Parts: sequence; structure tokens; C-alpha cells
Amino acid sequence: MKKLILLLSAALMSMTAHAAAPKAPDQVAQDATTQLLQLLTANHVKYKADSKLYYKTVNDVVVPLFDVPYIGRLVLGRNAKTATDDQRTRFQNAFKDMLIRSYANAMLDNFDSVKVSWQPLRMAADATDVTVSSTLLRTGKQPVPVGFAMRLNGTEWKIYDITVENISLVINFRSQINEEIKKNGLDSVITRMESGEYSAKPKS
Amino acid sequence: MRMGNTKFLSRSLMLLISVMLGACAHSPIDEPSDPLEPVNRAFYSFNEQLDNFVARPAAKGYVAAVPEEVRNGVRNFFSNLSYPTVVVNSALQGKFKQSGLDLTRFVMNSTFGLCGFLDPATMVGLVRHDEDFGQTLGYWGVGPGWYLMLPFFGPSSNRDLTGRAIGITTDPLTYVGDSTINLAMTGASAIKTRADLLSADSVLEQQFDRYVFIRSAYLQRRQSLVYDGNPPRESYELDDEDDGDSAPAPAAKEDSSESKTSDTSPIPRFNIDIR
Repeated sequence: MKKLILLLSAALMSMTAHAAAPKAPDQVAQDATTQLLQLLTANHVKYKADSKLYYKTVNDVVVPLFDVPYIGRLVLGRNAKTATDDQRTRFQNAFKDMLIRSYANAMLDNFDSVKVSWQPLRMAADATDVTVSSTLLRTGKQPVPVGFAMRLNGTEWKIYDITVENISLVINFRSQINEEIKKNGLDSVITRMESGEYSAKPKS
Repeated sequence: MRMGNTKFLSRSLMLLISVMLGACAHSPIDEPSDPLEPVNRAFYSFNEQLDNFVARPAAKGYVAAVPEEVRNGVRNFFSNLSYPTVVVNSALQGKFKQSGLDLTRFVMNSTFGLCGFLDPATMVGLVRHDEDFGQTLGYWGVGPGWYLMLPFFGPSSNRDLTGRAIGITTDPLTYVGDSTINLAMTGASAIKTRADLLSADSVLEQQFDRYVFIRSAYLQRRQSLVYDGNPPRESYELDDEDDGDSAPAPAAKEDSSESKTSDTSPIPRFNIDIR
């Protein structure tokens, strides 16, 4: 009897331990991609007609996977130190919306011609920062390596950078935004981002 | 004795080159060394105009007029033409096995592939590599130096411009005596290259500062090529940042041995080619 209880509790403990362990980073990235592709396949006509609905879907499904505050800080780089809390928050949101508008439209235009293949992830058990590698396969074109830099944030793995052909989104925007801030100041950059000046227009 | 001499000679040559290229100055990736920025920007505007009025229309016309199969053939042809450079540079980076496979690829595509228009080598598993003299210099520890924007040719760096100059020796077009053929080939190659980049135009349009975007993308891309697609991860955190909530610097932990390799070190890295 004692043995049984011991066994049971051991089993229970291992179960809870399992539940507490975060979902593996590559699984997070894969599940999100699959979910998004399914949504796009099912609703792309609706999304094309109603961009508000589409942006909202992306905001609900995709954005929670990203560590938005951290990305905001990384992109601001040295300017994050001098920015006020209010500026940081506004910048984060403006940057996030800008990316949604740009990339969501690209996805809507190309989702049916793209396949993603995932490379197996090798990571140390105690790693808090990994890169999940994948390859974008497009019919009749060169495959494009895409990496998701992810960090353990509390109990969840979140994306903080995307690299395409090893070109980092964060570094790209950091160097450009640094330059803009130097010229015009942070407030002006945020206002222009909020106004949608830097977003790709949907293909008509 | 003789051996020692050659070694000394090659070492001092390497030293001379690295001093020439100012390899010691390592700039952070988000603020690359660009002392010629005013000149570079002027050349960039010139290139943009040239692109607006000549290159892009030509590329668009080419895509519209020429069927995809033929365009693929043209792409293969020019890729094959640059392959002697790849063979030589694979060897110069100590990747002898890769160099041998690259030579096989070149011979195969030049013969069975009808002067390179077809690509049978890929079908039998000989993958295409991307190597040039700029990458070889980088492999042996030479940093990019200054960023340069060349008129007509586009982005470059001290290192890559040096590489480009050396590359003339392995470019088959150098040995074509007829300047008309030479010019036509160069033009065709430029149009093909521009056509392949047409889909990137929309990305370019939504940048804050296209000049800075291209500079950043170019330097990161070259760094990636030097490391054959596996560049050491740059730490995104700033060194002077010490506020408590910052995450552990994203220097990849899973391959700490790799991430320590500094790209300014003159010690060659012997990468294991997993491809």
C-alpha cells in the first residue's frame, strides 16, 4: 500500500513537473505558424476584404508570441536609456503595429505559395536563449533561411528577433531608427510610425 | 629552411594585407564604420536614379518578355560562369573537399549542362556554394573595414572591394578578348541580377532610411557568407546596459565555443562543413 502511494505520488509529481515545463521553443514557433497558415487558408478572402478584422486576428494570434517590450528596448538600443516610460510604451506599440501592417500583408499575399520546413532544434536543458531555424520554400525560387531568436520569459518562450538570410530585423531597425532619432528626435519618429508612414500598402 | 621561408613570407603577406584593410577596428554591427557616408550617400542617390530609369525598367522588361524557364537557364549560366572563383576560394579557405566537389560541379554543368544553362550537378547532389575573394579574406580574419557604396556596382566594403579586384583574375570574362561580348555579358548579368531582386523592392519602400537599410543588410549578409551561413550571434544588448530586468545577453549558450570566435582574430577557423 505504501509502495502504491509512493508510486502514485511520484507519478503525480512527474506530471505536475511536466505541466510546469514550458512548451519547447521550436514547438511554439511551429504551432503558431501552422495556426496562422490554417487561418489564412480558411479566411483569406474575408481578410482581404476586411483588413481591420485581419489585423485584429494577427494581433490576437501572433503578437502574444513576441516579447514586445523587449523587442522595443532592443530596437531602441542606446536610446532606450534616455527615453521616458511613456515614450518606450508608445514606441513599442507603434513598432508592433508597423510590423503587423507590413508583414501581415506580405503573408496574406504569399501564404499559399510558401512552405516552411523546420530544422531540428538542439539546445541545452538550461538554455534561456535559442534560435529556431527554418527554411522558407517557395516554388521555383531559392529557399530562404529564416531564424527565430527566442528567449525564456518567465515560463514561456517568446520570439524577440527574426532573421532572414541571417539579416536581423532588430539590428536593421535599430540602425535606421538610431539614425532617425539622431536627426529628428524620438518623439517625431514615434509620431511618424503611428501615422503609418512606414508601412507597406496592401497590393491592390 | 625553404619551408620556413615560405611560411614567413606568407605570414608577413597576410599581416600586410590585414594592416592595409584596417582589420583591427571592429565596429558594432548596428553602427558600422562608414567615414565616407556623405560620398557614399551621393553615390547611392546616383545608383537609385540609375535604377529608376534604367536597371529596374530593363529588369521588368526582361521578366515580362522572357519565359521563366529561359530566365532560370540564364541564371544558371551566370552562376556557372562565376564558379571558377568559387572553386579557387573554397580551396583558399582550406575547404579542399568542397573545392573538389565545386570543381566537379563546374565541369559537369559546363559540359552536360550545356555551358551552364542547365544544372545537372544539383540534381546529383552537388550543391551550389557561394564563395569569393572577399569571403576568403574574411575567413582569414580580415574585417570589412569601411562600408563603401560604389557607383554602378552598389554596396561594398574595403575588404570586399579588394576581393572584387582580385576576383577579376578568376572571372572567365576577363579572358574574353572581344570587348563587345564582354560588355553584352556584363549588361545581361546586371539585368539578371536586378530581375532577381525585383521582389525586394517593396521591402525597400517601407524603410525609414534606405541607405542605412542597405548598409545594414549588406554587412550582415556578407558576415553570414563569411561564416557559411552560421555567423556567431551578436549580442544585441549594449555593453553599458546594466539595468536589473535585462535578460541574459543573447550570446547563444548552446554553442558557447562557437560564439567566442571573434571575427577579427587572425587565427583561421576550421569550420566543419555540414552541408
